[in-house]
Amino acid sequence: MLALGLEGSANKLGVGVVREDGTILSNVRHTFVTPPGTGFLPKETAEHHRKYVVQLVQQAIREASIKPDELDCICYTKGPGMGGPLRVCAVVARMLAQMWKKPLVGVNHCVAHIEMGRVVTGASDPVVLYVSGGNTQVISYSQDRYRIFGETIDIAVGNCLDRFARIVMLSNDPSPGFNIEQAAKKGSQFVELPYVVKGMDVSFAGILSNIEDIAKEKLEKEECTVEDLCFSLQETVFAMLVETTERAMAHCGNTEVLAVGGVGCNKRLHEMLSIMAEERGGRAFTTDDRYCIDNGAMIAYTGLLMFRNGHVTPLSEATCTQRFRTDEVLVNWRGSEPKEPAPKQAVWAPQLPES
Amino acid sequence: MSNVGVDMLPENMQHRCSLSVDYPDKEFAEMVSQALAVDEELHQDKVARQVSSDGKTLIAQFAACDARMLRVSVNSFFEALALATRTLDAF
Repeated sequence: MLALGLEGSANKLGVGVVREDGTILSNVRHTFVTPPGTGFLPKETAEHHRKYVVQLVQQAIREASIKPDELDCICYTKGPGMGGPLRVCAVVARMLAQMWKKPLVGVNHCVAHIEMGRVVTGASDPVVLYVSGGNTQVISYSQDRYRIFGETIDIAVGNCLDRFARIVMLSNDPSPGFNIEQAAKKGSQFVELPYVVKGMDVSFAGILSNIEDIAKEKLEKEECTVEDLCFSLQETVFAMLVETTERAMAHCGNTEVLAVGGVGCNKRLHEMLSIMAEERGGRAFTTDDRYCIDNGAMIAYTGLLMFRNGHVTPLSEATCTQRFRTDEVLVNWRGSEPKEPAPKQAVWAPQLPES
Repeated sequence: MSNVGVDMLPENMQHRCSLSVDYPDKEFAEMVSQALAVDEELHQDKVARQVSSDGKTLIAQFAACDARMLRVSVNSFFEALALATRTLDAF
């Protein structure tokens, strides 16, 4: 079976073609990169997507060497994300579905990240740390849902990093996060920042405004460098994420962790997660930037999983939505999977009657 | 002519606009109209929109409480319309 997926919930526009076993036939992407000091706004991002979406679909079909006839369904990101950019992909998906007479499948962006991460890494039932420019969630699967164990109470971790990059005028090419990661390697001095973990939740807005003040003050007096701030910011926010992720793993009796989303391809975050997971006798999984960063293949793959399990979106209901929580989706494709060696403290184990 | 009359738009929205676009084929007009009818207006209390097709013609009717809302709605409709039509042309 084959599916085509369209993703455009933020500044990345992606189109992919995949097979049901996760084989990727094509996965093309075009990113809207803004000048240093600026971010991407919904209207301009939608304009970018409108400009490139048709040629990207053509390219994905060409690279996959398939004919539209061979596709089984057309998948698109239903949400969450920016309304304008989401609608661009939805309109194109609705047109393609009608022109090629294929069923439509609206996919939750967060679930798509998780499923892509699982199929690429082979991690069967990991605790998932989903970190990107728009989302920050610690997730674990239980009883047909991806349950959110912890999340940000204000801005996403990637948003915090992106906006810091703007403050210190780092380039947005290829992405602000990548440039922070490179600069952080040269940092030598740790500047103390607020560490904001509230139970299982995290907060980044205060850290951002604090580091903004520090940047103004200390950079001018040359008390620290931009590299030092990049290093300190990464260490602080990643430590917060690793702490809440570890607590979720302890709660679920799980030793595997999977990092997905744009920030998930940060090598330092992966290193910190690996140390934590290894101390718990497990391991950390992550994928490279082809799959971690928003892409069309993850929408196609997840849409196909959903399609095979009875999810179809009628044309009249093929809307998109800015808010779409991870746990709203009925995950009915994991039930038949062989259970991994049962965790020692199986929190969700069914209580069988004794007789 | 059209199966959806202007009279179905709310009476309190006095700013009106109606446009029709011809396609080479009846099927094309239907596909575009169905693809664009799905998205609801963000401010349904201020703008109403009806999209339909009549033969080879796509018909869009707008009613809004002020000229600005009407312009915003018609503009974003045109953007989606152009995108849908370009998709149609490309494949």
